[in-house]
Formats: sequence, structure tokens, C-alpha cells
Amino acid sequence: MGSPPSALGFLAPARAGLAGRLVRNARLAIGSQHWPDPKRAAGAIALAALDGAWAAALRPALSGLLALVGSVAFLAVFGGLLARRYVVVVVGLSLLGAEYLVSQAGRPVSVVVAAAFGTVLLATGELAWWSAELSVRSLWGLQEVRRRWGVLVVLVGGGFALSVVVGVAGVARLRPPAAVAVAGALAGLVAALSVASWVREVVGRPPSGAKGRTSDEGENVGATKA
Amino acid sequence: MGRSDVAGSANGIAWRPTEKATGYLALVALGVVAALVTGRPEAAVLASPFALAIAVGLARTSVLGLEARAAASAAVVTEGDEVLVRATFSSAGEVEGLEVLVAPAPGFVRAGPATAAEPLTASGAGSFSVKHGLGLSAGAQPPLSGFAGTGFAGNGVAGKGAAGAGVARADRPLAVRMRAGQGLELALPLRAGHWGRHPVGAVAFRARSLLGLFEASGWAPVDGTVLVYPRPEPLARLVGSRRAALPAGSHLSAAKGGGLDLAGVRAYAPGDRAKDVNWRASARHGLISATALTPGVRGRHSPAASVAAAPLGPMALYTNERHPERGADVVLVVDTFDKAVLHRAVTAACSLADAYLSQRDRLALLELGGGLRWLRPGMGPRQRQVVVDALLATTDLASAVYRGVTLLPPKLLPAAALVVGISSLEQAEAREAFSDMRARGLDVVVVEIPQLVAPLEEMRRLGRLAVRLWQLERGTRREELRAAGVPTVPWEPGQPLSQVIGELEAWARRQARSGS
Repeated sequence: MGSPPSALGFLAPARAGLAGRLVRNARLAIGSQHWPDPKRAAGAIALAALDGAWAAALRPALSGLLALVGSVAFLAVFGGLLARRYVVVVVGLSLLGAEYLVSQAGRPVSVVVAAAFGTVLLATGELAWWSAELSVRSLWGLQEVRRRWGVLVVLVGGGFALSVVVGVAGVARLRPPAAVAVAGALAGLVAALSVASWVREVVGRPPSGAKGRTSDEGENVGATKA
Repeated sequence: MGRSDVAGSANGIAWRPTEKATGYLALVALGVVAALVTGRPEAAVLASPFALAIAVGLARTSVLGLEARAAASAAVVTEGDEVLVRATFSSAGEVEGLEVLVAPAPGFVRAGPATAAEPLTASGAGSFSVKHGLGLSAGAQPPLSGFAGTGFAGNGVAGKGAAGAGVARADRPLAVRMRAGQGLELALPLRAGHWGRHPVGAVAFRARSLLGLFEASGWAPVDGTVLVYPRPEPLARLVGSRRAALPAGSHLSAAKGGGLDLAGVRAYAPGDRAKDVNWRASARHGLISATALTPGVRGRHSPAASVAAAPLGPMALYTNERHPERGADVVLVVDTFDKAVLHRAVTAACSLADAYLSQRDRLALLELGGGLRWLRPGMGPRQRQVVVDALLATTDLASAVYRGVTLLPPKLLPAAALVVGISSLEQAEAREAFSDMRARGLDVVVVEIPQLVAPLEEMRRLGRLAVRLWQLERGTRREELRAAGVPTVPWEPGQPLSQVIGELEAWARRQARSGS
């Protein structure tokens, strides 16, 4: 599995010999930046703090417990960014989600608030990944940066819409089995796509008709240059 | 996992999921399970945006099939020159971000940020659009020049000016987007920093899919090796030989004869050429009778005849004397005992060889070290190439059988040769060799290259007194050679070689005047 620090390991296939030493040198050169991109990290941390405070404010009666959970979640996001360990950030996001669920226990379902909360969680995760992954050190073109912001905005908007749909489906007087069916269908879709992707990409077997290129097929490489 | 089965290329690289993909899957699973357990939809609602991200990321990720090749643009360069590493990428699927960084081999350093060698497609070029650069000319190398730094490192170098920004940017990977089925060719500049034959290095890269759910990485070694020649230092003056003997060259002989440079004026003697007559001196000082000349004889080479034809009365003629230009035998002696100064020694030797051969001297090369290696005297561009190649192959060989310069062939050290030594003077064998050559009657001068790095580091641990003692020891060695008639001048780091040669030349000139 890749991770931001081990993403430095994109040079990891270094083997013995001069080439291995060279690639290790490049790895050291790249790894000299140990801190995340401060702007996006600050954005992610601010959103995490907003999530935590928001959830705590939703249930003043449990504000002590919620503040505790929110603080731990905030520290997890902060520490994960500092250490560039995305797993820790994910733990923080899940704690923030748990804080929200606790704050809503025994209350009527508020679809829009839940969708907004989930969307902010997603934005937190995306900014955290963007700030912590190795590519922040790379020289990106302005158009690529704009495109990434655009993708993020579309994703956040789409995520909010999907959340509202799921929430509305859940509260539209459907019985629990129907909500379970919606959630199960969603999970099944994701799982199927994941397994298909794993089999297709990680195992490295291209689908029929898309023959993999090798170095011997020089004409293919040349065709791409033309 | 990337692999590089073929030298100079990496083929068939596939995606692998990132930590982000795993984390998002876990969040979705948690949400679904929580929704099932609690019977409330909030958990599923919270997980929905993450599920959408996974779905979009998977839908936009296709078979990668990334291939990379790398080759150097030149096989022979000079120290300080740029070598472009051309990296060619092709992929079957879309790559949202391809980060490329060259890992230079020892002997090379990164010279600047990568640029597009050539835009392969019009649409591909469109994806490389940039904004204002960090001190780099945005229009100089379109379309990839002037990439804006997006991380804090980029912001940090923004205020440091063009030079600082250029260096900082050279060490950062370049990130570009590749559309499916398109190729990309990048030029990654390196600077040759050390003479010798070196492998160039490798090109490391990482590809990421949309939303960063998958990544792929690998590296491709750069094909072949590059031969780096030392960059000769410009030398305005050289130590001249006092006994230039070759028929043609650039040195003024002490003797008088046919040449261009004025040596003096003397009285006319029969047989002198008309063009050698100094008419101004003759007109000013001439008193003898014209009848003393050769009246009535008319000829092209008889100035007396032409003078006699004119009604000038009695006068004397004076003739110019000139120094002939001759070539010299020069023997470069390079001390290869000391590895610490070998780099500078070879650089100095190449500079001197270049300068002496360009003024048509005959040059021989002798390497003092664990073994004796020499090149017979020769002239011209061919000899220059042979000498430089021999110097590039110079290594420090440890040997216990060194027997001095008595084994050298006589033709290597002609009697009138000028010996230019390049040595750290740390080894007694080298000092003895220079003394032996001087004792044979050869003109010997020595460029001393002080060994600084290792001894000083050791000495600093011992204290200032030890450093002082070591410097005194160096001075003593130098004075011993000078007392033996061998002018020795140290070439300190950072000092121009021309300054050292100038001092040696002045020293040798003083020695010649004093007749020693």
C-alpha cells in the first residue's frame, strides 16, 4: 500500500548497484521536505476543527463528551498531517463522524445537516491528502492546480447531493429494511468496483483487446510520439 | 510496482491503490455498518461523499501500461556543460499527474527544471499551460517553463531571485498530465561537474490517478555513459623554454637569425638582405663613403647598389637583427600519488597541455605514481587528444616497486626540454623525481597543489599548532625544491591557474637572467 511517507517510495524499486544508489539519492533529495503543504494543511485542520465544534454545538447537553471526542479527532487529523500518515487522518475523520452520530442519537434525522457534515468531512480528507502527499513538492502547472480545485469542488457538490438523496431515502418513511437495502446496494457497488479494479490493475492483467506495451513494440511508442 | 527490465527503459507499469483508497473504503464500510447497527440513515449519509469519491476515482481509472525511456543527448561534453536527459513516456490510460525527477550519477548535478523537449500533440501541449514563473522566463521555453510552485517550498523560494529559485526548482519533480494514449517527452538538464567517464543516472517517476486513489512508480536508467573532458583554464602566459630547439614554434630563441622580433641593429655586412636594412638608423648615423659600397653593381638583393644609384654622398648602412621563433620540448609530469589532489592535477595538466600544444610545442606526458606511465612527445591536435585521453584514464595506483625516473626512455626527456611538474609534493618520490630531472640539467618548474582536505580535518582535531606545523612542513618541502633550482608555486583552491603560471614564468625569467 502506498502512503505519503512511503509515497517517497515511488522510488522504492531501488535495487543493488549504481542505479539503486542513484534512485536512493533522489529519494533522499525528495524526502528532504518532511512537512505538509501549510496552506492546504491549515485548511484541513480548520475544517476538522469546524466539524468538531459543529457536532459539539448540536448537543449542548453532551458538550463535554462531544468536545472530548472532537478534540481527539482534531488531534488525530493534526498529528496525521504532521507525520504525513494518512491512516491517522482517516481515524480522525471517523472519530468526527462518530461525534456527529453521538450528537444526533435519539433525535429526528436532519438530512441536510448530515449531508453538509459529511461533505465537510470529505473536504477535510481531500485537503489533508492533497497537503500530505508527496506531489505537493512537485512543480504543478497552474492549469493542473485549477483542475484539481475544480474536481474537488465538483466532488464536494456531488457528494452533498448524493448524501441528500441517501438521507431522503432513509427518512422517507421507509422501513429499516429499505434503508438497509439502499446502504447495502451502495456498499455492494463500491465493493464490486473495488474488486474489479484490484483484479484488473493490481494483478496487472489488461482487459482483452488492450494488449500491454513492451519495450520491443517500438512502433507503439513511436506512434504515440507522432 | 515499477520495474526496469531493459536498460534505459521501464515497461508495463501498473497501478496500485494508495492509502487514501484504503482509508476511504474503510470509512464507507464503517458508515454502512453503523447505519445497519443503529437503524438510522445518518451514518450512511456521512459515508456517501466518500463512496462517491471512490466511485468517481475508479470510473476514471483505466489500464495504465506506462512506459518510460531515458537517453542522454550527448556522449562527449566538457566540464560545466549541460547534458539533456530526454525522458519519453507513453501510457495507454490517462495519468492525472506524472511526477518526474532525474537522479544524477556522481559527476553530474541537476542544472534546472525539466522542460518539454517537444510537444507531442496539440491537445497535450494545452495541458501544460503555466502561469508566471519564479524568476524564470515564461516565454523562453514554452510550454513547461515557469511552473508555479504549489507547495510551501515553492513559496519559500519565490523571494530569493532567479538563481536561488532555479536551483531549488531543479531539485523538485516536474508534474504534468498525460492524456490516454498520448506520449510525452521531457528534457531534464544536468550539468557535468567532474571529468571522467560517467553513467548519467536514472529518471524516477510517479503517476497518480484522478483523486489519488491509485499510483504507480518506477525508474528508468539513462542509456550509456558520457565522457566528460576537463575544462581548460585560459592561460595568457606560459613558462617558456630557455633552449627552444625545434625548427618552428612560438618561443623566441636567444640566438639571432631569421624571425619577426627585433633583436638589435648592427652594421651592414655584405650578403644582408635589402629588407633587413634599417633605413632610419642608416640615415641618422651613416658617414662612410658610398664608394666603399659596391658602385655599378645593380641587383635586386644589393642595397648598396640602389644606394649608390642615388646621389646621397657618403653614408653607412645598418641592418636589423632578429630573434628566430622556435618550438620547445615540454614534458608534463603529473604526480598521481595523491588521490586527494588528482582532480585538480588533471585539470591543470589539461590546461597546460592545451596551451603548450596550441603554440606548436612538442609535448610529452609522464605520470608519476604507483607505476610510471608516459606518452612520447608529439605535436598538434592529435597529441592533445591523446594526452587528454591519457589524463582522463589517470588513477592513483598504489605500488611498492617505484624505481624513480631512471627507467624512462631518453627520448622522453630531451636535453633541452622544459619539465612542468604538477604535484602535491606530499610524496618523497615525486620530490626526488623533480630534483633528479633538475640534476640532469633540465629546466624544471612545479605547480604545487596543496593537499588540503583530509590532513586539515585531521589536524583540526589536534589543534592549531598541528596545522601550523603541517604548513611549515609544506613550506620546507617547497624551499628544498627551490634551493635545488626548481621554481615551485602553490596553486591554492580558488586561485586562477594563470596567476600561478605567471609567477612561475617570472621566476624562471629571473633565474635565466641570473644565469643559474
